[in-house]
Amino acid sequence: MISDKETQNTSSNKFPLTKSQESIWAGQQISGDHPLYNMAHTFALYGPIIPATFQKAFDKLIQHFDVLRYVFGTHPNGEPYQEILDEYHYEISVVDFSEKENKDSLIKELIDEKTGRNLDLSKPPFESFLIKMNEVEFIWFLNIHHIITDVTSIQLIYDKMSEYYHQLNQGDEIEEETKSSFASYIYFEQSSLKKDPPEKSVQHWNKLVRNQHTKTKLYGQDIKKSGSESVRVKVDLDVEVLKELNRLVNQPPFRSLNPDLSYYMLCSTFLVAYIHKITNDKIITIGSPSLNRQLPEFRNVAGLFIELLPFQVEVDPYDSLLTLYPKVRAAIFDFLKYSNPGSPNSEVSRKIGVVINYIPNKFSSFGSIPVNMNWIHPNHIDPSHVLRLQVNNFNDEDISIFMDINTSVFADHQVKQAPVHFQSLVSNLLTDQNKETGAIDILTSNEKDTLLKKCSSIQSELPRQKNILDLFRQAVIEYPSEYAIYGDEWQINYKTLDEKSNQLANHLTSQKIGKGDQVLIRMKRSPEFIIGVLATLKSGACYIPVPIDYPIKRLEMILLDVSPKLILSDKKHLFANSVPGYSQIQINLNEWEFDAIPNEFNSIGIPNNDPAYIMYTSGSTGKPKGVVISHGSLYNYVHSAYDYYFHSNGKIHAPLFTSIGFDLTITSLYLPLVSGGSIQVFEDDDSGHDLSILKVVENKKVNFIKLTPSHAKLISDIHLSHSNISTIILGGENLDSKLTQKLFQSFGKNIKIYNEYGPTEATVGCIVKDIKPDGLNKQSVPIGKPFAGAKAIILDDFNNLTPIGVPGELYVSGPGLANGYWNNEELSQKSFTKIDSQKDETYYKTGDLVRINDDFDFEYLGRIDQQLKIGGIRMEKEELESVLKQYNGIKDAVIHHFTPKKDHYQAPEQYCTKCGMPSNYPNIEYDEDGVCNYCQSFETYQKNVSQYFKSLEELQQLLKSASATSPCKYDCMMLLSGGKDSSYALAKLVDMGLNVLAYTLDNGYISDDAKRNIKTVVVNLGVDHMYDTTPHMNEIFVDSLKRFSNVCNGCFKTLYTLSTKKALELGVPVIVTGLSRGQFFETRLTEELFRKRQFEVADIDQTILDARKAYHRIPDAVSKYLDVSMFESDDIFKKIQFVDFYRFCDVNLGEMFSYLDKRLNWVRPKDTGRSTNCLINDLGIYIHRRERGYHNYAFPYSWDVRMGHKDKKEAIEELDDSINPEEMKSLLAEIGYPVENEEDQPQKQLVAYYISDKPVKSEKLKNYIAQFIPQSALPAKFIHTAEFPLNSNGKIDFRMLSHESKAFQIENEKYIAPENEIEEAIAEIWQEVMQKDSISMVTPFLELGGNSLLAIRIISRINENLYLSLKVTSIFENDTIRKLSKVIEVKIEELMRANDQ
Amino acid sequence: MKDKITAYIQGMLAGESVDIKEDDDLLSTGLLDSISVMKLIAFLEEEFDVEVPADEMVIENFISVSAISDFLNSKK
Repeated sequence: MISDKETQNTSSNKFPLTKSQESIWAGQQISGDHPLYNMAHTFALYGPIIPATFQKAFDKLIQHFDVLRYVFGTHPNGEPYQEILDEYHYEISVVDFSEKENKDSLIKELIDEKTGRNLDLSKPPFESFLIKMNEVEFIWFLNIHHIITDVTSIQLIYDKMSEYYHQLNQGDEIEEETKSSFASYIYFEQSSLKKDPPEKSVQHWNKLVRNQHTKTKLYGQDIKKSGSESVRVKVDLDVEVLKELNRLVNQPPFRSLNPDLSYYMLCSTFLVAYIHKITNDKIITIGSPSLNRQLPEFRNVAGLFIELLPFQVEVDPYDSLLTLYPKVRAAIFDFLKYSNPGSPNSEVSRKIGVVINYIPNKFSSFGSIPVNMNWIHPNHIDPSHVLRLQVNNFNDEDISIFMDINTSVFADHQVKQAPVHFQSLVSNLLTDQNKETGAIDILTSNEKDTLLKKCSSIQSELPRQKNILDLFRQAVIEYPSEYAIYGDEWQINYKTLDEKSNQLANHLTSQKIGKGDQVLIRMKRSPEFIIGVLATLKSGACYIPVPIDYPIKRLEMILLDVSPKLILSDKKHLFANSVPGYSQIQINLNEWEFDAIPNEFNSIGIPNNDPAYIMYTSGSTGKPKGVVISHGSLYNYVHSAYDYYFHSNGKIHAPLFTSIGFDLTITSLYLPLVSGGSIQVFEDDDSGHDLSILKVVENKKVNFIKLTPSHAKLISDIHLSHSNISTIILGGENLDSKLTQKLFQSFGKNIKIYNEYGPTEATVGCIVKDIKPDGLNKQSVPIGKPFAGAKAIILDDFNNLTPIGVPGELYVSGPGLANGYWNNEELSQKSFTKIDSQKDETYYKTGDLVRINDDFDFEYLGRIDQQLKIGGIRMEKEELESVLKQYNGIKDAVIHHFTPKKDHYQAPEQYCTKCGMPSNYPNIEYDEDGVCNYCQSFETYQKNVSQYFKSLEELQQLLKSASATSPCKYDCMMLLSGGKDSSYALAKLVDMGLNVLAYTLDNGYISDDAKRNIKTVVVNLGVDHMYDTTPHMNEIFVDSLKRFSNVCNGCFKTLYTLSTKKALELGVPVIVTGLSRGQFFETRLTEELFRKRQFEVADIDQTILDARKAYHRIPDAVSKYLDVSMFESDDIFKKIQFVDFYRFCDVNLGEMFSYLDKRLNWVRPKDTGRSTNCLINDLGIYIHRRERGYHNYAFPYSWDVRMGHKDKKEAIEELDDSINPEEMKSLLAEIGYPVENEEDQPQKQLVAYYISDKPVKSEKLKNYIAQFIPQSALPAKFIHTAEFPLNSNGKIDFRMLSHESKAFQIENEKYIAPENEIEEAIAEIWQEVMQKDSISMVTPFLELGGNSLLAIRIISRINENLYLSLKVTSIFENDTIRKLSKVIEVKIEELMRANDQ
Repeated sequence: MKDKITAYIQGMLAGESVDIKEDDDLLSTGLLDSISVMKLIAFLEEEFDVEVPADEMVIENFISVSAISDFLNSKK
């Protein structure tokens, strides 16, 4: 209830708008003068009306309903308000048509004019008048702006007017009664909004928004361009259908709380099913007004109460009325349950495109006068609404249904078809309540006829009595001496080409190769290849073109599949012994071996159905499938293409520059040869980066190119108006308009550009679009209309033709259809099918999703199997891509949908021939001799490295002099792990006559064998020994695994920390480590230290010392759990020296083992599986391999080998650990590292790759895309990359892309780009050392995974490049690129100033 | 039970002033519209720990306080 206080607060009559009013107010502002919110009605009154009484009643009406006195305005700050006038007089005029002849048209004209006029909001926004038809028939016109009324209010106002008029007419007094006060609702809503809506309700609406498909495309129509123009069309339901509807509302399961609710829910079910049919969407969201009059006191108040809210239903095409109705009912019940005022967020209503309006108003007589009400459509609707279903139930069991269709979205033919489709769907659903929605065919037979006409080839089928060889022969006869082939070395005229191929064909025949045989041609693009193809065809055999860059595994699969009788190869690509059992002929024009053979060939008759070639394409199972194309199909395509593109006229000079194993190339291979033109051969480039397209466009001869859009992108920025190319055919991929526009710019407007679509299975091309430069208003270029005798139809999952505009799967038929798949009857049956409704024709099921647009062009929407099905929403990859491409600054984008790998380990394919470094190590490269880049560069500084190492004598000296000044009884402490290295070192120290304290860290996982060794060693040597430990080892392991994916780093740090503390307590001056030389390079030494121009060993020592200081001061688990206070001051590093034993000792493995065996009885541990002594080490190796993809010992072992302390074979063997994953998992659980569940199938991930000058923040991109795409379909990652690598077919290679962009990957959220040259230079060094392709200026070093070794590498490089002498610690003190750059800037300025002086 | 139901309806309709007798027709009089019934059902499900399946949300089960009460008792 409204308190007095609140009423007093607004002594002024100005009120804010309610939420619903605000959205209408905003909508009106946007639409300007369009009368979209007019709620106009005419009431035909069949009786005498006294105008004066009517006026009096109307005056009373205005007094009763406060909303009829509302005016609207804006505060200076732009906020709208409404104000109640205390009094308002409105004159009801009477238009007298009683004397007129053509009343009907006059009335219509008047009413249309008034209804189409926008109501002025600065006055009470309504208009009303009477039309006098004759003495006993009047029409009352009442038009009220939606901002002050709704459907229920119209009823209330009518009822009140009727009551007043009747009372006044009878001479009764009108009694005082409670006035209708919308103002009280405004208060109510405001106080409701202050309260938090119930949690459940918030969850409900949020979930709905998440699943909402914002771009619901009815009949595939883009709703971006929507305006408010609309028409209202009636849905003509049969009497029988209506009867059934009226019956069902009272029958289970349809009956409900009241008949109106049942009507409403049934009609909603029809609408949901209909939207599903015309969108293919699975999740359907429909808006509907919620009456929102919950308090009895508002029941009789007029005003805008309704709120438009959505309900959402997940439809399955197998749903029938009986299964869909309960879904809709549940959705509507939720809708009712959660419609608290103000609880849904505004996004909910904003995304609504389809609305159902159920109007149960009852207009009984006007007083005692019979009435007939008519709601007049203002020919405009809310521009965000595309379709509104008006269900009027004005008198019981008199349902009428209208569609308000937004004509700025729907094309004319759709406006006509929509109500017919709806009507047909409703009667189908009602006739058979078990009929599946998907199975219902909603098209009329007329529509089907039109569709099938549009689906037929624009070219009539050509005569088929010839074949491709006949056409070639004709060219030979006509142009014998003209060049047919321009190769790198050879130019060959038609006559010669004919003769050479005849000779080879004769040879093939003599080898018993002919009809029914297969010849595999594996060659570079070359004149020889063309000769090989012609010869094979002449012999009657068919050929299988295989490019030379085909992966060998794939080639083997093909050989196995097809078992060719012969392989034709060129000299360079002759098979070695790898494929025994096939006869092979090599052809080489320089060493032509067939001159002795006659150059005439007696052509044999080849039936149309004989295979001409088998083209292998990738199959979804991973096994390539061979598409068998007949002579008839080949001839049909080539002949039709020549006819369509060139009107069978003129010589075509085409480049042969695309892969011979790609059917797109067929066009470039045959069109020249049948037209008397020439083939310009561009040989394959061995480098793998085929850039021959750049040469192609400069070629003076070429007048025609056929290529993929990805290929075309390479030339789209080049100015090519001077080029001789006059025709471009693009094929093989979706073509976007941006690229096409660029091509028109590059080549000039006169260039002919075609978009050709065709699966290999339908021979190169079957649908084509002749692109005009000014018709490029869509994202993608349509693929056009069927040609080459093809027929193309679009079917839904139930094999019904989809209505025009609605996406479905493309099926093609015609003379281009392949014979089937080689050796795969099952797949052939599945892919080449007959369709019941399409008589006897065989269709190829393309797997491509297409639709027909308003120009009756086919549009390619993506692959059916690449549709992203997320949360039930079907989403096209292409749609996501095109949205991304429209983002400012993004030049190109692709979406990759894949299952991420948990295990990144891949077994190495090769090892460095010198050091054994495996190929799975990051960024490893090998030269021709198989030597890795580390070994190569090692050679350049090997001399410096040798200077670093010293002799045992020097060690002895060092230790003696250190202990001389120390009062401690021990000369030094030796860190003894029990492994071979530390045991050997300990023994050697004892041999030197030193008093050594052996110190072992028990990390809880030292193997029993190792413990036994420790005991044996210390007893044999007679030294003091101590174990030390910490209860926090597990926490330290976990931290180490998280930071470094290994356990060793954490363990080492614990060892150094605890041993330093112990040494400090005991006063031991030196700690000796048993690190191997390989481990030096893993943990302390870096290439950079040795690469310096002016190399000083002392510098290295100082750098390493600096690094150690920083190392001990890094916050991590060790600093958290252990006492590290002693490292705070630099003193500790003077008091206690760390010495690496093997810096002073050069010993090879054999020598070491024999010494250990003889002197110490040391036994190689058996229980850890290798020469290490620690069980948890396996865990580190296991995690490291999974997470980083390689063995963490690969690097140190390679250095051990380089240093001569290990041999290569041994190093490689030791890297080959077999680790039991089950044991590792229990070990992980034991130490408390989160174990992932292998059974959890990794979720498919959506990743967006994009190209732009600067990376864009993920957050921004996410927010942007979220405007168009449901949240559940947003890409998980946005990856900025430099380019999209192509595979040999000129399509995007996602494997390469993900690989290459891994380095390019950015932590977008945090990314801040460099601002000056110094930052750029420093960033480059960081990126190189940290192996990241992009590092933000403000990301701290440690967060990037930095450690002291990386610090040394970075600082050394900076010092070297910029001639500075920064300390390693400076990177920890200034831990971002930005901070470090500032310091460097200051340093450089200082230096420059010093130089100046 | 009936008292609780009556009290809830009165509270929902924001006023003790609405007098509801246990056999009053709640639906056809327009006292409760569809939204109100849904909210009432949500309340009943919570309060009496029952589940009301959508196909039982029919007139006779919700026409009056006593009908609701009978219906709920039949669910237990």
